[in-house]
Amino acid sequence: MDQDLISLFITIRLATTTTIFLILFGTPLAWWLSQSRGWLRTLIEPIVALPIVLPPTVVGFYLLIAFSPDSLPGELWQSATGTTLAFSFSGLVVGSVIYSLPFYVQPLQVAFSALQRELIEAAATLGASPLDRFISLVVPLCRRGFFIAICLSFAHTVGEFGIVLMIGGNLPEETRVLSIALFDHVESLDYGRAHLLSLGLILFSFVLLLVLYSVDRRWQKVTGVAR
Amino acid sequence: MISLSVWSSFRPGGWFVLTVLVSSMLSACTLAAEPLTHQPLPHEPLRVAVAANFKPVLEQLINDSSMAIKLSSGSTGALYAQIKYGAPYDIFFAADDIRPEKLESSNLTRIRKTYAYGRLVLWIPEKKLHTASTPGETTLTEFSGPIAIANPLHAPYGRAAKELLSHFETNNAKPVFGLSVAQAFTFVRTGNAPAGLVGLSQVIASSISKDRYWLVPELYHEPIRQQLVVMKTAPGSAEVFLDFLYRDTSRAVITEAGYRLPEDDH
Repeated sequence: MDQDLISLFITIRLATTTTIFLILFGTPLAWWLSQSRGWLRTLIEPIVALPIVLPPTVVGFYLLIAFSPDSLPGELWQSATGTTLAFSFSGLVVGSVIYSLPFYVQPLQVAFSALQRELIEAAATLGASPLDRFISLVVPLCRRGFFIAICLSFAHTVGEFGIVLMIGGNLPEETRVLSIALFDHVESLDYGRAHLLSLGLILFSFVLLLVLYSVDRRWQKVTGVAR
Repeated sequence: MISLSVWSSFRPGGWFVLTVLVSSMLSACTLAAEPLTHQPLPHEPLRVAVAANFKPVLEQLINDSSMAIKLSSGSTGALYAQIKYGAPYDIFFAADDIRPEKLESSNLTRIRKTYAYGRLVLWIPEKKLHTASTPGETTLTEFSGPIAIANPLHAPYGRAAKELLSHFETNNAKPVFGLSVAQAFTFVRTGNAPAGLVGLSQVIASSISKDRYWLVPELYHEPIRQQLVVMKTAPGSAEVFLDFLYRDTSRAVITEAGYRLPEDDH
Protein backbone atom coordinates (compact mmCIF):
# COMPACT_ATOMS: atom_id res chain seq x y z
CA MET A 1 0.00 0.00 0.00
CA ASP A 2 1.08 3.56 -0.57
CA GLN A 3 3.11 4.88 2.35
CA ASP A 4 1.14 8.13 2.51
CA LEU A 5 -2.11 6.20 2.71
CA ILE A 6 -0.72 4.20 5.63
CA SER A 7 0.27 7.49 7.29
CA LEU A 8 -3.30 8.70 6.79
CA PHE A 9 -4.68 5.64 8.56
CA ILE A 10 -2.21 6.03 11.43
CA THR A 11 -3.22 9.68 11.78
CA ILE A 12 -6.95 8.89 11.88
CA ARG A 13 -6.34 6.06 14.32
CA LEU A 14 -4.26 8.31 16.56
CA ALA A 15 -6.79 11.15 16.51
CA THR A 16 -9.67 8.78 17.22
CA THR A 17 -7.90 6.96 20.05
CA THR A 18 -6.78 10.25 21.58
CA THR A 19 -10.30 11.69 21.42
CA ILE A 20 -11.77 8.58 23.06
CA PHE A 21 -9.26 8.82 25.91
CA LEU A 22 -10.04 12.51 26.26
CA ILE A 23 -13.79 11.80 26.46
CA LEU A 24 -13.13 9.22 29.17
CA PHE A 25 -10.71 11.25 31.28
CA GLY A 26 -11.26 14.82 30.14
CA THR A 27 -15.01 14.87 30.79
CA PRO A 28 -14.78 14.19 34.55
CA LEU A 29 -11.88 16.64 34.75
CA ALA A 30 -13.87 19.36 32.98
CA TRP A 31 -16.84 18.69 35.25
CA TRP A 32 -14.71 18.89 38.36
CA LEU A 33 -13.08 22.12 37.14
CA SER A 34 -16.50 23.64 36.47
CA GLN A 35 -17.92 22.73 39.90
CA SER A 36 -14.97 22.99 42.27
CA ARG A 37 -14.13 26.30 43.92
CA GLY A 38 -11.18 25.15 46.01
CA TRP A 39 -7.48 26.02 45.88
CA LEU A 40 -6.74 22.78 44.03
CA ARG A 41 -8.77 24.00 41.06
CA THR A 42 -6.79 27.25 41.04
CA LEU A 43 -3.70 25.07 40.69
CA ILE A 44 -5.00 22.47 38.20
CA GLU A 45 -6.68 24.90 35.79
CA PRO A 46 -3.46 26.54 34.55
CA ILE A 47 -1.73 23.14 34.40
CA VAL A 48 -4.44 21.89 32.02
CA ALA A 49 -3.97 25.01 29.87
CA LEU A 50 -0.16 24.72 29.75
CA PRO A 51 0.03 22.82 26.42
CA ILE A 52 -1.63 25.80 24.68
CA VAL A 53 1.25 28.11 25.49
CA LEU A 54 4.19 25.68 25.72
CA PRO A 55 6.15 24.83 22.59
CA PRO A 56 5.51 21.17 21.69
CA THR A 57 9.26 20.66 21.97
CA VAL A 58 9.08 21.21 25.74
CA VAL A 59 6.43 18.50 26.13
CA GLY A 60 8.27 16.25 23.65
CA PHE A 61 11.60 16.64 25.41
CA TYR A 62 10.23 15.75 28.84
CA LEU A 63 8.14 12.90 27.48
CA LEU A 64 11.29 11.49 25.88
CA ILE A 65 13.01 11.62 29.25
CA ALA A 66 9.97 10.17 31.05
CA PHE A 67 9.67 7.34 28.50
CA SER A 68 13.26 6.23 29.03
CA PRO A 69 13.54 2.86 30.80
CA ASP A 70 15.93 4.65 33.18
CA SER A 71 13.11 6.79 34.55
CA LEU A 72 10.26 5.63 36.78
CA PRO A 73 7.30 5.99 34.33
CA GLY A 74 9.30 4.32 31.54
CA GLU A 75 10.41 1.53 33.88
CA LEU A 76 6.84 0.88 35.08
CA TRP A 77 5.55 0.74 31.51
CA GLN A 78 8.32 -1.60 30.47
CA SER A 79 7.74 -4.00 33.34
CA ALA A 80 3.98 -3.98 32.63
CA THR A 81 4.08 -4.38 28.86
CA GLY A 82 7.62 -5.46 28.01
CA THR A 83 7.95 -2.66 25.47
CA THR A 84 9.13 0.93 25.57
CA LEU A 85 6.83 3.91 25.11
CA ALA A 86 9.14 5.85 22.85
CA PHE A 87 8.84 4.96 19.15
CA SER A 88 5.46 3.30 19.69
CA PHE A 89 1.86 4.13 18.85
CA SER A 90 0.98 4.01 22.57
CA GLY A 91 3.64 6.63 23.22
CA LEU A 92 2.06 8.90 20.62
CA VAL A 93 -1.34 8.46 22.28
CA VAL A 94 0.13 9.51 25.64
CA GLY A 95 1.71 12.58 24.03
CA SER A 96 -1.41 13.51 22.10
CA VAL A 97 -3.72 13.19 25.10
CA ILE A 98 -1.51 15.60 27.04
CA TYR A 99 -1.12 17.96 24.10
CA SER A 100 -4.83 18.07 23.16
CA LEU A 101 -6.14 18.07 26.75
CA PRO A 102 -6.92 21.82 26.96
CA PHE A 103 -8.65 21.73 23.58
CA TYR A 104 -11.05 19.16 24.98
CA VAL A 105 -11.40 20.34 28.57
CA GLN A 106 -11.77 24.08 28.12
CA PRO A 107 -14.82 24.26 25.80
CA LEU A 108 -16.51 21.59 27.91
CA GLN A 109 -15.71 23.36 31.16
CA VAL A 110 -17.28 26.54 29.80
CA ALA A 111 -20.41 24.62 28.80
CA PHE A 112 -20.67 22.94 32.21
CA SER A 113 -20.25 26.25 34.02
CA ALA A 114 -23.13 27.76 32.09
CA LEU A 115 -25.54 24.98 33.13
CA GLN A 116 -28.50 26.03 35.22
CA ARG A 117 -28.02 24.27 38.53
CA GLU A 118 -31.75 24.40 39.28
CA LEU A 119 -32.46 21.95 36.47
CA ILE A 120 -30.07 19.37 37.85
CA GLU A 121 -31.28 19.90 41.40
CA ALA A 122 -34.85 19.46 40.21
CA ALA A 123 -33.94 16.18 38.54
CA ALA A 124 -32.25 15.06 41.73
CA THR A 125 -35.37 15.76 43.79
CA LEU A 126 -37.35 13.69 41.28
CA GLY A 127 -35.06 10.76 42.13
CA ALA A 128 -32.65 10.68 39.17
CA SER A 129 -29.30 9.10 39.99
CA PRO A 130 -26.11 11.14 39.37
CA LEU A 131 -25.26 9.07 36.28
CA ASP A 132 -28.81 9.40 34.97
CA ARG A 133 -28.70 13.15 35.56
CA PHE A 134 -25.44 13.40 33.67
CA ILE A 135 -26.46 11.29 30.68
CA SER A 136 -30.05 12.47 30.21
CA LEU A 137 -29.66 16.07 31.30
CA VAL A 138 -26.07 17.37 31.23
CA VAL A 139 -24.96 15.71 27.99
CA PRO A 140 -27.92 16.91 25.86
CA LEU A 141 -27.82 20.39 27.40
CA CYS A 142 -24.09 20.68 26.79
CA ARG A 143 -24.05 18.99 23.39
CA ARG A 144 -22.62 22.13 21.82
CA GLY A 145 -19.70 22.07 24.27
CA PHE A 146 -19.13 18.35 23.63
CA PHE A 147 -19.28 18.88 19.89
CA ILE A 148 -16.71 21.70 19.92
CA ALA A 149 -14.48 19.79 22.35
CA ILE A 150 -14.49 16.58 20.30
CA CYS A 151 -13.93 18.36 16.97
CA LEU A 152 -11.12 20.52 18.31
CA SER A 153 -9.24 17.72 20.04
CA PHE A 154 -9.54 15.48 16.97
CA ALA A 155 -8.36 18.23 14.63
CA HIS A 156 -5.61 19.33 16.98
CA THR A 157 -4.27 15.77 17.15
CA VAL A 158 -4.29 15.50 13.35
CA GLY A 159 -2.31 18.75 13.25
CA GLU A 160 0.25 17.62 15.80
CA PHE A 161 3.87 17.64 14.72
CA GLY A 162 6.44 18.69 17.28
CA ILE A 163 5.82 16.05 19.93
CA VAL A 164 5.50 13.21 17.41
CA LEU A 165 8.74 14.34 15.82
CA MET A 166 10.52 14.09 19.15
CA ILE A 167 9.12 10.82 20.54
CA GLY A 168 7.90 8.93 17.46
CA GLY A 169 11.05 7.73 15.77
CA ASN A 170 9.37 8.08 12.34
CA LEU A 171 8.51 4.39 12.00
CA PRO A 172 6.51 3.48 8.90
CA GLU A 173 3.25 1.72 9.78
CA GLU A 174 3.60 2.69 13.43
CA THR A 175 4.42 6.31 14.20
CA ARG A 176 4.79 8.08 10.85
CA VAL A 177 1.73 10.32 10.92
CA LEU A 178 0.77 12.63 8.05
CA SER A 179 2.57 15.71 9.37
CA ILE A 180 5.81 13.71 9.64
CA ALA A 181 5.38 12.18 6.18
CA LEU A 182 4.84 15.68 4.83
CA PHE A 183 7.99 16.91 6.53
CA ASP A 184 9.95 13.99 5.01
CA HIS A 185 8.70 14.92 1.54
CA VAL A 186 9.77 18.54 1.98
CA GLU A 187 13.18 17.54 3.35
CA SER A 188 13.81 15.10 0.52
CA LEU A 189 12.65 17.72 -2.01
CA ASP A 190 9.64 15.69 -3.14
CA TYR A 191 7.48 18.79 -3.42
CA GLY A 192 4.78 17.05 -5.47
CA ARG A 193 3.80 14.69 -2.67
CA ALA A 194 4.29 17.48 -0.15
CA HIS A 195 1.68 19.55 -2.01
CA LEU A 196 -0.69 16.60 -2.10
CA LEU A 197 -0.54 16.10 1.68
CA SER A 198 -0.56 19.82 2.47
CA LEU A 199 -3.57 20.55 0.31
CA GLY A 200 -5.33 17.50 1.72
CA LEU A 201 -4.74 18.70 5.27
CA ILE A 202 -5.91 22.23 4.44
CA LEU A 203 -9.07 20.86 2.84
CA PHE A 204 -9.76 18.56 5.80
CA SER A 205 -9.24 21.33 8.36
CA PHE A 206 -11.37 23.76 6.37
CA VAL A 207 -14.27 21.33 6.03
CA LEU A 208 -14.07 20.41 9.70
CA LEU A 209 -14.17 24.06 10.80
CA LEU A 210 -16.93 24.82 8.31
CA VAL A 211 -19.05 22.05 9.80
CA LEU A 212 -18.10 23.14 13.32
CA TYR A 213 -19.21 26.72 12.78
CA SER A 214 -22.40 25.94 10.88
CA VAL A 215 -23.61 23.27 13.30
CA ASP A 216 -22.73 25.60 16.14
CA ARG A 217 -24.77 28.44 14.61
CA ARG A 218 -27.76 26.20 14.03
CA TRP A 219 -27.76 24.99 17.62
CA GLN A 220 -27.48 28.52 18.88
CA LYS A 221 -30.60 29.41 16.87
CA VAL A 222 -32.50 26.37 18.16
CA THR A 223 -31.70 26.86 21.82
CA GLY A 224 -31.51 30.62 21.68
CA VAL A 225 -28.66 30.62 24.18
CA ALA A 226 -24.96 30.29 23.82
CA ARG A 227 -24.33 27.06 25.61
CA MET B 1 -6.05 30.05 17.66
CA ILE B 2 -9.37 29.15 16.09
CA SER B 3 -10.19 27.57 19.40
CA LEU B 4 -9.67 30.89 21.17
CA SER B 5 -12.13 32.65 18.91
CA VAL B 6 -14.66 29.87 19.41
CA TRP B 7 -14.42 30.27 23.18
CA SER B 8 -14.23 34.01 23.20
CA SER B 9 -17.62 34.21 21.55
CA PHE B 10 -19.19 33.17 24.80
CA ARG B 11 -16.50 33.57 27.37
CA PRO B 12 -15.62 36.82 29.11
CA GLY B 13 -12.02 35.63 29.45
CA GLY B 14 -11.70 35.79 25.67
CA TRP B 15 -11.37 39.55 25.86
CA PHE B 16 -8.43 39.18 28.17
CA VAL B 17 -6.70 36.84 25.71
CA LEU B 18 -7.34 39.31 22.90
CA THR B 19 -5.95 42.19 24.92
CA VAL B 20 -2.81 40.24 25.71
CA LEU B 21 -2.38 39.31 22.04
CA VAL B 22 -2.85 42.86 20.81
CA SER B 23 -0.55 44.40 23.39
CA SER B 24 2.17 41.82 22.70
CA MET B 25 1.86 42.54 18.97
CA LEU B 26 2.25 46.25 19.65
CA SER B 27 5.36 45.72 21.74
CA ALA B 28 6.78 43.45 19.04
CA CYS B 29 6.39 46.32 16.54
CA THR B 30 8.27 48.70 18.80
CA LEU B 31 11.07 46.18 19.21
CA ALA B 32 11.31 45.60 15.47
CA ALA B 33 11.60 49.32 14.86
CA GLU B 34 14.48 49.78 17.28
CA PRO B 35 17.49 48.57 15.21
CA LEU B 36 16.81 51.36 12.68
CA THR B 37 18.14 53.91 15.15
CA HIS B 38 21.55 52.16 15.21
CA GLN B 39 24.37 53.19 12.88
CA PRO B 40 24.81 50.80 9.95
CA LEU B 41 28.02 48.76 10.13
CA PRO B 42 30.89 49.98 7.95
CA HIS B 43 31.50 46.46 6.57
CA GLU B 44 28.71 44.00 6.11
CA PRO B 45 29.59 40.73 7.86
CA LEU B 46 29.67 37.49 5.85
CA ARG B 47 26.46 35.54 6.13
CA VAL B 48 27.13 31.84 6.62
CA ALA B 49 24.63 29.00 6.85
CA VAL B 50 25.80 25.73 8.36
CA ALA B 51 24.35 22.26 8.81
CA ALA B 52 23.74 21.77 12.52
CA ASN B 53 26.29 18.97 12.96
CA PHE B 54 29.20 21.18 11.86
CA LYS B 55 28.08 24.30 13.72
CA PRO B 56 30.27 23.94 16.85
CA VAL B 57 33.41 23.45 14.72
CA LEU B 58 32.61 26.37 12.47
CA GLU B 59 31.94 28.58 15.49
CA GLN B 60 35.41 27.86 16.77
CA LEU B 61 36.97 28.47 13.35
CA ILE B 62 35.13 31.77 12.98
CA ASN B 63 36.34 32.74 16.40
CA ASP B 64 39.95 31.90 15.42
CA SER B 65 39.67 33.82 12.15
CA SER B 66 38.39 36.96 13.94
CA MET B 67 36.39 37.79 10.82
CA ALA B 68 32.94 39.39 11.02
CA ILE B 69 30.59 36.52 10.26
CA LYS B 70 26.91 36.02 10.97
CA LEU B 71 26.18 32.32 11.42
CA SER B 72 22.82 30.59 10.94
CA SER B 73 22.32 26.88 11.43
CA GLY B 74 19.64 24.36 10.60
CA SER B 75 19.11 21.12 8.76
CA THR B 76 20.70 20.88 5.32
CA GLY B 77 17.31 20.40 3.67
CA ALA B 78 15.74 23.40 5.38
CA LEU B 79 18.72 25.66 4.61
CA TYR B 80 18.76 24.47 1.00
CA ALA B 81 15.09 25.35 0.56
CA GLN B 82 15.69 28.77 2.14
CA ILE B 83 18.62 29.51 -0.16
CA LYS B 84 16.71 28.34 -3.21
CA TYR B 85 13.95 30.78 -2.33
CA GLY B 86 16.29 33.70 -1.85
CA ALA B 87 17.71 33.55 1.68
CA PRO B 88 20.70 35.91 1.73
CA TYR B 89 23.61 33.61 2.61
CA ASP B 90 27.12 33.97 1.21
CA ILE B 91 28.51 30.54 2.12
CA PHE B 92 26.56 27.36 2.80
CA PHE B 93 28.18 24.46 4.67
CA ALA B 94 25.96 21.47 3.88
CA ALA B 95 26.10 18.08 5.58
CA ASP B 96 26.04 16.29 2.22
CA ASP B 97 27.03 16.85 -1.40
CA ILE B 98 23.56 16.48 -2.95
CA ARG B 99 22.21 19.89 -1.98
CA PRO B 100 25.41 21.76 -2.97
CA GLU B 101 25.36 20.00 -6.36
CA LYS B 102 21.75 21.04 -6.87
CA LEU B 103 22.54 24.65 -6.05
CA GLU B 104 25.46 24.55 -8.43
CA SER B 105 23.36 23.18 -11.27
CA SER B 106 20.81 25.93 -10.63
CA ASN B 107 23.65 28.36 -11.40
CA LEU B 108 23.53 30.02 -7.99
CA THR B 109 27.08 29.33 -6.86
CA ARG B 110 30.64 30.17 -7.87
CA ILE B 111 32.57 27.59 -5.78
CA ARG B 112 31.73 24.08 -4.63
CA LYS B 113 34.23 22.23 -2.43
CA THR B 114 34.42 19.31 -0.02
CA TYR B 115 35.40 20.56 3.42
CA ALA B 116 35.14 17.37 5.50
CA TYR B 117 34.03 13.76 5.60
CA GLY B 118 31.74 12.68 8.41
CA ARG B 119 32.61 9.48 10.28
CA LEU B 120 30.03 7.05 11.55
CA VAL B 121 30.28 5.30 14.94
CA LEU B 122 28.30 2.57 16.63
CA TRP B 123 27.69 3.89 20.12
CA ILE B 124 26.45 1.71 22.96
CA PRO B 125 26.40 3.34 26.40
CA GLU B 126 28.03 1.23 29.06
CA LYS B 127 25.03 0.07 31.06
CA LYS B 128 23.27 -1.20 27.94
CA LEU B 129 26.11 -3.47 26.96
CA HIS B 130 25.77 -6.96 28.34
CA THR B 131 29.40 -7.77 27.82
CA ALA B 132 31.99 -5.38 29.13
CA SER B 133 33.85 -5.30 25.84
CA THR B 134 34.18 -2.39 23.48
CA PRO B 135 31.61 -2.37 20.66
CA GLY B 136 32.86 -3.71 17.36
CA GLU B 137 31.77 -5.44 14.21
CA THR B 138 30.41 -8.50 16.04
CA THR B 139 28.44 -6.29 18.44
CA LEU B 140 26.62 -4.94 15.44
CA THR B 141 26.01 -8.30 13.76
CA GLU B 142 24.71 -9.81 17.00
CA PHE B 143 22.74 -6.77 18.06
CA SER B 144 19.00 -6.99 18.58
CA GLY B 145 16.66 -4.20 19.65
CA PRO B 146 16.04 -0.61 18.67
CA ILE B 147 19.00 1.18 17.15
CA ALA B 148 18.77 4.94 16.64
CA ILE B 149 19.83 6.28 13.24
CA ALA B 150 19.22 9.52 11.38
CA ASN B 151 16.54 9.52 8.73
CA PRO B 152 18.14 7.91 5.63
CA LEU B 153 15.79 9.83 3.33
CA HIS B 154 17.46 13.15 3.91
CA ALA B 155 20.24 12.86 6.48
CA PRO B 156 23.64 11.73 5.16
CA TYR B 157 24.56 9.94 8.40
CA GLY B 158 21.26 8.11 8.14
CA ARG B 159 22.03 6.98 4.61
CA ALA B 160 25.42 5.67 5.70
CA ALA B 161 23.88 3.91 8.71
CA LYS B 162 21.30 2.23 6.52
CA GLU B 163 24.00 1.03 4.11
CA LEU B 164 25.96 -0.38 7.04
CA LEU B 165 22.93 -2.21 8.46
CA SER B 166 22.02 -3.74 5.12
CA HIS B 167 25.65 -4.71 4.52
CA PHE B 168 25.63 -6.86 7.68
CA GLU B 169 22.03 -7.99 7.17
CA THR B 170 21.29 -7.13 10.78
CA ASN B 171 17.72 -8.38 10.86
CA ASN B 172 17.31 -8.13 14.61
CA ALA B 173 18.37 -4.50 14.84
CA LYS B 174 15.24 -2.40 14.50
CA PRO B 175 16.14 1.08 13.32
CA VAL B 176 14.28 4.02 14.83
CA PHE B 177 14.63 7.25 12.92
CA GLY B 178 15.65 10.61 14.26
CA LEU B 179 15.01 13.62 12.12
CA SER B 180 18.72 14.32 12.14
CA VAL B 181 21.80 12.60 13.49
CA ALA B 182 21.51 14.95 16.49
CA GLN B 183 18.11 13.51 17.31
CA ALA B 184 19.38 9.95 16.89
CA PHE B 185 22.07 10.87 19.42
CA THR B 186 19.42 12.21 21.82
CA PHE B 187 17.45 8.95 21.57
CA VAL B 188 20.51 7.07 22.86
CA ARG B 189 21.57 9.71 25.36
CA THR B 190 18.13 9.73 27.03
CA GLY B 191 18.17 5.94 27.24
CA ASN B 192 15.22 5.39 24.90
CA ALA B 193 17.37 3.50 22.40
CA PRO B 194 20.09 1.14 23.71
CA ALA B 195 22.36 1.83 20.74
CA GLY B 196 22.83 4.27 17.93
CA LEU B 197 24.72 4.88 14.71
CA VAL B 198 25.79 8.48 15.14
CA GLY B 199 28.57 10.86 14.19
CA LEU B 200 32.12 10.61 15.55
CA SER B 201 31.97 14.38 16.06
CA GLN B 202 29.03 13.92 18.42
CA VAL B 203 30.61 11.34 20.69
CA ILE B 204 33.80 13.43 20.79
CA ALA B 205 31.87 16.63 21.61
CA SER B 206 30.07 14.79 24.41
CA SER B 207 33.35 13.39 25.78
CA ILE B 208 32.17 9.81 25.48
CA SER B 209 34.86 7.32 26.38
CA LYS B 210 36.59 5.69 23.42
CA ASP B 211 35.77 2.17 24.58
CA ARG B 212 32.03 2.83 24.26
CA TYR B 213 31.94 3.22 20.50
CA TRP B 214 33.18 1.57 17.34
CA LEU B 215 34.50 3.74 14.53
CA VAL B 216 32.84 2.21 11.48
CA PRO B 217 35.35 1.67 8.64
CA GLU B 218 34.41 3.78 5.65
CA LEU B 219 34.45 0.77 3.33
CA TYR B 220 30.99 -0.21 4.62
CA HIS B 221 29.22 2.88 3.33
CA GLU B 222 29.45 5.62 0.76
CA PRO B 223 31.58 8.45 2.18
CA ILE B 224 29.66 11.12 4.08
CA ARG B 225 30.99 13.92 1.93
CA GLN B 226 30.21 17.36 3.33
CA GLN B 227 30.47 20.15 0.80
CA LEU B 228 30.27 23.90 0.89
CA VAL B 229 29.19 26.35 -1.75
CA VAL B 230 30.01 30.03 -2.15
CA MET B 231 27.07 31.87 -3.63
CA LYS B 232 27.49 33.99 -6.75
CA THR B 233 26.36 37.09 -4.88
CA ALA B 234 28.89 36.66 -2.05
CA PRO B 235 31.48 39.40 -1.39
CA GLY B 236 35.20 38.71 -1.90
CA SER B 237 35.69 38.14 1.81
CA ALA B 238 34.09 34.72 1.29
CA GLU B 239 37.28 33.52 -0.43
CA VAL B 240 39.36 35.04 2.36
CA PHE B 241 37.48 32.89 4.86
CA LEU B 242 37.90 29.78 2.67
CA ASP B 243 41.67 30.37 2.55
CA PHE B 244 41.64 30.46 6.32
CA LEU B 245 39.53 27.29 6.44
CA TYR B 246 42.07 25.29 4.42
CA ARG B 247 45.07 26.34 6.52
CA ASP B 248 46.82 23.63 8.55
CA THR B 249 45.71 25.09 11.87
CA SER B 250 42.07 25.10 10.79
CA ARG B 251 42.36 21.61 9.36
CA ALA B 252 43.70 20.38 12.69
CA VAL B 253 40.62 21.80 14.43
CA ILE B 254 38.34 19.95 11.99
CA THR B 255 40.19 16.64 12.45
CA GLU B 256 40.15 16.89 16.23
CA ALA B 257 36.40 17.45 16.13
CA GLY B 258 35.91 14.03 14.51
CA TYR B 259 35.95 14.58 10.76
CA ARG B 260 38.25 13.26 8.06
CA LEU B 261 39.74 15.84 5.74
CA PRO B 262 39.62 15.64 1.98
CA GLU B 263 43.05 14.51 0.67
CA ASP B 264 43.04 16.89 -2.25
CA ASP B 265 41.42 20.28 -2.12
CA HIS B 266 38.44 19.20 -4.14
